[in-house]
Amino acid sequence: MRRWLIIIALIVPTALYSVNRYKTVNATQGLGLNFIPVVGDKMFSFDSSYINQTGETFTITKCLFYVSNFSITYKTGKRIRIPNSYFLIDLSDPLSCLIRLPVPANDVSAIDFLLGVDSAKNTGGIQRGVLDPARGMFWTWNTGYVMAKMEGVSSVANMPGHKFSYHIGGYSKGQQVTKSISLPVTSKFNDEKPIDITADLLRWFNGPLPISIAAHPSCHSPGQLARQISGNYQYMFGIKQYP
Amino acid sequence: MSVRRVYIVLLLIVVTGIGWIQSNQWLAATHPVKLVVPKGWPAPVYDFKDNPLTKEGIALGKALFYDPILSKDGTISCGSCHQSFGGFATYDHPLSHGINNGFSNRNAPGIVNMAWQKNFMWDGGIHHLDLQPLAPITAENEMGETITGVLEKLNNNPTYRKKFLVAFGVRNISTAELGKALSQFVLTLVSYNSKYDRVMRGEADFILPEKLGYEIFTKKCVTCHPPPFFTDFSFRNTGLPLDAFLQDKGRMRITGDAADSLAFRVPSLRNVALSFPYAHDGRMATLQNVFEHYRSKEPRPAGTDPLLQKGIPLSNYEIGQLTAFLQTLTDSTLINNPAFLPEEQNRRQKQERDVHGNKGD
Repeated sequence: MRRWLIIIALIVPTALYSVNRYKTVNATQGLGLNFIPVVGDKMFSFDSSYINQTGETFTITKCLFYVSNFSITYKTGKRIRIPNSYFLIDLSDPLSCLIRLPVPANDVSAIDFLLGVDSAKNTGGIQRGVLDPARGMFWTWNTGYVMAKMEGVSSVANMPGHKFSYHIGGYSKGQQVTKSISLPVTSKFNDEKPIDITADLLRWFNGPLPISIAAHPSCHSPGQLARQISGNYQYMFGIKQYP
Repeated sequence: MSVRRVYIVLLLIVVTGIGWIQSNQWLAATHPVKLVVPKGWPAPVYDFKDNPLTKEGIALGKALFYDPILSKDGTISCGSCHQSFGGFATYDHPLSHGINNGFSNRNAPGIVNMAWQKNFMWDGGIHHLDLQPLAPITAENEMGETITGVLEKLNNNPTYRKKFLVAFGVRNISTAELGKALSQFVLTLVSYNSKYDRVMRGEADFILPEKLGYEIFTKKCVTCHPPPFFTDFSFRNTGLPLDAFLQDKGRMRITGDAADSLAFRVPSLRNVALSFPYAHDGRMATLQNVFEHYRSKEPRPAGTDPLLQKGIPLSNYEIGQLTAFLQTLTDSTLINNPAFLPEEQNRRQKQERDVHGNKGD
């Protein structure tokens, strides 16, 4: 009897403590979205070089972007907004590319999200988690997030080490680069598996106003060039279709 | 062993267990502090709901403010360029000094009454006081650190870990707590006890030159430098030509708008007698230089603020009176308050007193 009581006495606080710590949702529950970098119709690789619309050859060394403010529509017509959903996708880190949303995974008909960080989080002081300025996606001299970042090497980049770098940000009037993305989901998925969202990195250069690395090897502040590049890359996403 | 005893032991274990679980919260018992809002001033713009002032938070902020640990090589602290004796601006240095014998691009402004300011820096590029310290910390020509570098140093420092745990209840220090701690200290730097303030409260009287200077000030300067902050917080082009070396275009760097070229923040005139040299790049050594700039009859460059296009007529006599008035904006109670001075300086001053046989106060 006494022994049991002691055991219970030890278990209760431990259990309480565990409950406190593990309130987070099980990582395999909910709707999974997997961001897959591609170039045209091929898988992207940091080892390969690619050619943009302007005919320039380049390799990519780094590519990160924020996705936020998700909203999921279902075949029933029901739409669920997910507040405080902020994710930093780092294409060199596959773990960061697979995200989980705390909503049902079956019968999804559309995925809506913001490419970038909304202005409220840009102006609301220091944020935590993936929005922590320590993540390196933040300008300290001109408050605001780098919404998306691409760095690479191209022989035509007239910069030290032939490096080009595009840090795209701006949330205020006239400098806005956040983009609302809407992806209809048509094909039949296995609900157990995450939905694959492709991100075509060529789209950073190719688009309505093509970007030439030789002409613009760097972009490090909000403004015209940042808007032009974001105007291109907003079209990089697609839902991977399976035969 | 009776059943009752077993229950008592059981209860004790549970209480201890819960205590251990909750220790985070209890350890973090803090003492709230209310910011002084001088009579007649508007409400502060800083949102204290997100960062309520506490005795522990302010003390931690002060320790960080004067600690060169924030710079890459451990030589520069916030207090290096925001010196109490310079009205929390840099005393007698045109440009702030950074690591590796570097210079920043600008003159460090006085950082008093920050609770009432919406955006920061000479160009207004920073929107939140908590974020402000990240700029000098990460600027290569100032403290030259990275945010992760600073956080690593703080997280490896047992004293700071304890202080952050007490003040903010965190075991792992993140950027948010660093910014909030520094804000807590800076927010307490409220300058409202200069002779000017005491005269306005009816506690003192201007001498004649100060009084005459005040009258001239209210006619010729007050549009851009209105009390109680002695700035309207706007950005204006005063007609100073671009420095070819610094290439600093001020507000335009932030807005990208050519109309903002060479516009810089109207600086507060509080403690102005201590904060020389003047202008965003410290190019004017004395108040006399500033007056000469404003009264010059030379044509002003295009883009100069409309209020200044014809200059401000000032006689030698008026400059003398204005100087006398501006000196009444020096707040000696602020710059000598031990609460705002580095702890080491306070200790030293105490020891110096003891040399004469005094037991201190």
